[in-house]
Amino acid sequence: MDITIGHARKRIAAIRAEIERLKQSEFPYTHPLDALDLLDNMFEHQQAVLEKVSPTAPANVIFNACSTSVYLLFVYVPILGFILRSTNVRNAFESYAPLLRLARSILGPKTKLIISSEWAYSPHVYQAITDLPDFVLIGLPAPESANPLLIPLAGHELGHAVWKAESYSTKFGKQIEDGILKEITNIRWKEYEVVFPQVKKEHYLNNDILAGTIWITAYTWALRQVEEIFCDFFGVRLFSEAYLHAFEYLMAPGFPGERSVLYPNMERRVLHLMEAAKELAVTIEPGFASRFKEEDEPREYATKLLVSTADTVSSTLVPDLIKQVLDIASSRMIPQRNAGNVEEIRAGFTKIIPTAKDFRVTDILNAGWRCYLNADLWNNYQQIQAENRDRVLKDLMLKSLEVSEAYERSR
Amino acid sequence: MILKAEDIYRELMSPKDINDPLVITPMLDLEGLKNSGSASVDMRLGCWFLTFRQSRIGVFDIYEEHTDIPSEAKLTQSHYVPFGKEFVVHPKSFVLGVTLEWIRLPSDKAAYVIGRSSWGRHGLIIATATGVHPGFTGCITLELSNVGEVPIIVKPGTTICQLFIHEVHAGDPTKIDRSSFFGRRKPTLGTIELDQIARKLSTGLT
Repeated sequence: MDITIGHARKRIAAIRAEIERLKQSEFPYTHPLDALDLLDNMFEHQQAVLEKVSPTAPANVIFNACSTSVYLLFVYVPILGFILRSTNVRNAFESYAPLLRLARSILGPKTKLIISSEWAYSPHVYQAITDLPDFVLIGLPAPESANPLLIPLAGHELGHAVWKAESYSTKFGKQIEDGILKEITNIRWKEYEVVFPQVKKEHYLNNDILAGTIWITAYTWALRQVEEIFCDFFGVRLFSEAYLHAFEYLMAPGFPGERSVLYPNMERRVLHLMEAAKELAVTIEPGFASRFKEEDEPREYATKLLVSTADTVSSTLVPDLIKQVLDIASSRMIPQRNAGNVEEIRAGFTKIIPTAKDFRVTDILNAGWRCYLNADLWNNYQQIQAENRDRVLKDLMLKSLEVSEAYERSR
Repeated sequence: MILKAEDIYRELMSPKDINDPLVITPMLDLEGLKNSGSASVDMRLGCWFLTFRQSRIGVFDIYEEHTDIPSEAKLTQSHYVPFGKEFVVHPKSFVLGVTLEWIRLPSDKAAYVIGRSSWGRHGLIIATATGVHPGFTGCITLELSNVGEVPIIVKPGTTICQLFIHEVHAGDPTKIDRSSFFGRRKPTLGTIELDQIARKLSTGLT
């Protein structure tokens, strides 16, 4: 066993040395460095724990210390990679200050932000990082991390941070539990009886442990679906039409193969989005829904039944989730995109001029999307060749964010 | 004719042609411009810099037809310095910066970028009368060189150079320079292309 403790000590020492090297990187903003300090403290503590373990200690003591080390490395090495990529000059650095201001208006003044890029899965937010309290990590797809048109997707990621901060899992948990049990016992009993014959109706009604092993799966999936639906709605509330466009850009027509059980299926997800958009007075482009394809449902019957139950329950919460988004946006006084401002910015963009005052990020992003979707944009400008069109628009949008920041700071 | 600051102010506030305006944004001190009495408008340093990666290229040679001219990404490294942070220009170093201001010149205006003498006297040379043609729109790339003896700290938002704007007379307003620098927010190297005459003149006798 002594060789295992030796390996663990070396691995923790190596990660601490790597953190020290990362700190020498060119970070434009200080929050990633703050995160590195916190992670180093955490690994320093683990190093101390390992040092205290004698190679002759009982096997279970060595096992626990080593497996904790392996777990910490498993969780935090990808986050270190994320932090390192936050230095990449291909990121949309100009969006940092306005997004930090927005995040702080939603989550409080202590909020820290890291904007980076994701290779594995994007857009992505690292949820519930115990050792990085108050941090929001937003990653845009690595090949397009400088694309301001995708910034609205940060609205979904901020939604996750709100969900956690406001303990909405607890708030909606009971509703979901009741919904799942009701759905099983009142609506789908005949199907459940066939698929899980060993569990009787009274087991569900009494909520005993035998039934729990079954319905808890549907509950867990419904809870995750409800969180994702909330985050979509939050994105729509923050960025209006721009969120829908960015969502479509990234997600349409959907992934091939079987759907994820942790999200509503794509067809339903889009319908929920449209329902929220309608409630939030956000315009939906004609044909929006038709650009997403139906995803394959699970083939295995028990999974199919459980996810279908989760789908039904998560769908029933849509009105509550819309109300929750409206309430939180109102209590934090989060501004909605202003049609007049969007039009003013758009008019400037059509003359290849960035904003000339401090507009909000949502207005700039919406104006950018309106220009992007205009096929005739800059047709009369011989200086802009077709292959440069997107680059010029992105530069105008990012410059506008910087101009707004300059006005904000120079007040 | 060079425009006085108050003329520039007037052009910015009420353009002669709203479809072809003079634009400078952000214009953080409009009142200062109006009352300055000078014949230029101050430009501030932007947040993006380009430094050169000397170790990645042997020589920069545009005359060898079969030699690939290295790309900007291979030749240079980008740096983003947000407001509040600093960038150090070391003695004998040469870096590219960019104006914070995005400029749009109408078809009847051209401009020159001139370094501020106060920086020059401390060794920081900024551009050498960069010409900006009618119809240009974008941020202007600045060539920063420290010819002094001590490192110089610069921060985005600092007034670093000045723009002299000229009236342009006659000519067809639809004929404009198709500059490769058009519509950019970052400094750029651009490309040096030999025209046919230069190509002929640069070829030796056989």
